[in-house]
Amino acid sequence: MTVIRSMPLLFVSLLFGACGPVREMPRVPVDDRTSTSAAGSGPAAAVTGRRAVLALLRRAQALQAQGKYARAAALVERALRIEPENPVVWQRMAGIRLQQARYRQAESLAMRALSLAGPELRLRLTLWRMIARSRYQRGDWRGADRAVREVVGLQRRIHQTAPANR
Amino acid sequence: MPARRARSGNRRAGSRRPRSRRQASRRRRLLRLLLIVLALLMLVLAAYTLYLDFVIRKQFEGRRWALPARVYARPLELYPGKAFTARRFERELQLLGYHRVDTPQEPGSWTQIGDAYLLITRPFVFWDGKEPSRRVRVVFRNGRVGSLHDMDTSRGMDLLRLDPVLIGGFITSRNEDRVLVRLNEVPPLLVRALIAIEDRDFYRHHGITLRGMARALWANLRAGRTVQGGSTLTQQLVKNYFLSNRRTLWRKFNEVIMALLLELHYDKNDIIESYMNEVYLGQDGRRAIHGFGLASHFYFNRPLKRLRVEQIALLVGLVKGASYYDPRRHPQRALKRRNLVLREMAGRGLITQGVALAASRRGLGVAPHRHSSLARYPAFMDLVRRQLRRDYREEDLTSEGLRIFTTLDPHVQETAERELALRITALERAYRLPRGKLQGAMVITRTSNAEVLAVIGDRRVRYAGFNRALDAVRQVGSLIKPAVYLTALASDKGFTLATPLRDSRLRIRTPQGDIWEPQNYDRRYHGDVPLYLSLAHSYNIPTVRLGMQLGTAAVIDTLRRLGVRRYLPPYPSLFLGAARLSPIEVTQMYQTLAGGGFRTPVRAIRAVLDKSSKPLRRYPLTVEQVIDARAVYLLVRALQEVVRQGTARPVVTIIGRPLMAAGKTGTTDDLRDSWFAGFTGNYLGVVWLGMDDNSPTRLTGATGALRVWAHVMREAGATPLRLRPPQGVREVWIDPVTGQRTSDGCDTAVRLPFVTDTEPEPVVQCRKRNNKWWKRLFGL
Repeated sequence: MTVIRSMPLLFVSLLFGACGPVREMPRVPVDDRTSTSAAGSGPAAAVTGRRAVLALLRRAQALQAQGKYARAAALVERALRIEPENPVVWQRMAGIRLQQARYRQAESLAMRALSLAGPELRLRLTLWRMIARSRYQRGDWRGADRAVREVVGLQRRIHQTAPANR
Repeated sequence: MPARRARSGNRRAGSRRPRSRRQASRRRRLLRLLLIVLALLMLVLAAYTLYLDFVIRKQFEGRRWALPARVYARPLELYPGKAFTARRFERELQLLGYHRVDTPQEPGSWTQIGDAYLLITRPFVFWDGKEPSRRVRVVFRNGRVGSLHDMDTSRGMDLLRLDPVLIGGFITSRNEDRVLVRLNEVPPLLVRALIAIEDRDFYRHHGITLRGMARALWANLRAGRTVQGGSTLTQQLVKNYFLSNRRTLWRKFNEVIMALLLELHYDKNDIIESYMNEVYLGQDGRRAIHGFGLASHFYFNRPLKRLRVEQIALLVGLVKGASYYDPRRHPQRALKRRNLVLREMAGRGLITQGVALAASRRGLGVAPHRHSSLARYPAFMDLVRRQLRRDYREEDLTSEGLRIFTTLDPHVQETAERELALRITALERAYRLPRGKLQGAMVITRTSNAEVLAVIGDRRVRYAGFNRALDAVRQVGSLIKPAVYLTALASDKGFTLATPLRDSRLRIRTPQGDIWEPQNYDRRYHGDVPLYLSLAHSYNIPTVRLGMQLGTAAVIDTLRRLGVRRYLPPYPSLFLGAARLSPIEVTQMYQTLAGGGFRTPVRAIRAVLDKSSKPLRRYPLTVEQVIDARAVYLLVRALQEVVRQGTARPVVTIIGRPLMAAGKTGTTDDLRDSWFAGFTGNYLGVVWLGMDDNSPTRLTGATGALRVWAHVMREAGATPLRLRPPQGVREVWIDPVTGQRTSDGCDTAVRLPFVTDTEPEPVVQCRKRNNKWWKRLFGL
């Protein structure tokens, strides 16, 4: 109940947290294995496609800023073909859908990112914020409430683990 | 009286000329009649002319732009580190029709120096932006892109996207194909040469030339039959557009009127542009090659702009008779005709004598004929057409010049085609099956996003008949079992991978009152078997028992969530696969498993652009979470066990490197259907083998479809499946016999994932290896 009562306040912080374009790429667990295909293929394989993905995401962000969402999404999709298991790429896609007010899709994409995100707290926090906002916009209050709880929990853990960052 | 007299007098007076007067009046009447008839005739003629005028305007304006849709494969994207071999790259360039030259100078040409490829890419407009032409250097090393450089800026490139391979088009019922060209895109020399050869007075006449017609008439009279047409370009266009091929006077009359009308309404440039897009220039199977734009690609594999003098001359020469002078079938005739055109061009001062001489010394330069692109991937094209029909009318597809970007990967498609054909032949031999009867179908998608990479609907892969990948609706057998186990794992009934399932005699009373007693494939009972091993070994009895516990409704609900839409019989036999699905439907079901419980519709199209490259419709990636990700993760781990130690073990031997693939075999009663569905890191594939008349094949899923699947995956470059456990899953050591937790690293123990808080407690001591059950299971 307390959470529900404090929801308006929380939403302000949520909306601010998830609204703006993502300025920097959240730290991704750079997993050597995510993007490389064959096992044990040397150091070159570790950065396979990462630069291509970053280049695509940069271009996508520029288009997104101009409101060209469909083209931005097409670029993010290309990035996903290169690194399908990079949760940040999924998160970008979710961000575009959020801006397009396609909330159901935004939520699903954020959930997909979450399923790949592992224990990375900040990324999880960003994703739960997106999910909370999507649910809120769709009028899924109960769902939004659950997402807000996740956000609060994550914020607390981030404070505990790295107080210097805040 | 006087009046009478007078009258008679008159009569008398006129008696000298009564006949002439009568004649005059008759003549007048005749004249009047003639005038009326003439007027009527004029009226009819005028009406007829008006009618022709209407036909011409309607047809000319309507049909001028009737363009078939063009369908493209996925564009190849290269980046440093991408797993891609030089051989695959060369094949891609070949499919793209890039020319191998000593020094690349124009877009669409390449050369190889050592392990480096130098190429100039073609510019291309995609749905997300333009790709300009680039001079690039690509180096392949150890089966990967080693480096990628832009030679103009001498800088490394992060990403290179080539133009996509054209894989076909949707052509009108008239089987005409063309690539539309605008007059300003046509080399001026071609236009001038065409006019010089076909109609010198084109820019001076009004549609017809009396001199030409007189000359033709004279020639025809002398020959006693029609030998010359004496047609202007306008008349030829009219003939192509509206008239039959019969050479009659009436047609000639129509032709003349229509030519005059056409000239009245449209200017010369309109007419010549239409002519250049309309003229018949060759035949490719059923497909008629119309217009210079397509002919240029068809004969020389390059755009019109890039034709050399002698190539222009050859195309102009073909106008006179595309089949008679066919440069592929009659190269000598074609060469003679081309050189004649070159001399004529020089004679008219279009080119110098020197250029003409040099050009006529060159060979025909015709590109080797590729198999008609329309028939190259018929099963995939069929899928594309069906997905498009949801959004477009048939006429739009054949006439609006749409550009359709698909997901087809030519490399995967061709690998699958080759391997399917090889394996089917080998299986027929090994199992002494009647030759040519065993049929097969396959669908391959990209594991990560459900894009269809390859479809095969018949063992004769070019045959555009019954598309088994989409339309062969067959019993799926054990392919359905994962849905039963997933229902259990996702339920709140406490099932884990280690939950022991009872494999003992089971009798079920059906609603009809019969007794159904399911049997295992080996017709033995295995006692208590942990859930994951029951799936790995595809035991029937524990599966039915599990299904009965969950209920058909729950299992059907899971199947619906996975994306199966077809009717599913709500009987216990469903748990063993007494449901009929097509390979593409099975693909959707497994795609959702591969997607970690997120359903993404299987799709073959990325985007549709109109003829001016404006995006009309995109088909973006969408996901929807339909099943708990943790439950799906556990299930996929069990499906990996199917391949590692269960019924799909031959996969490991065939592929020969660790892929960690997840999959399931399927076999139906009396060995009528042989199925395999499975996925690796990059590809998901479903294979069906069987007979069209549903007769037995002597093949199980493992001895049939699995072989095809494994060989395709090996050859196509499948990558290992590396799963990331979602949050809320942890691994513990389990004794597979008791299902109890053990201390870490016991000999007999296995590591299994559990949804947090469902791990069994407490920890038991390690058990010795020589256990009866263990022995039985692994045949130790």
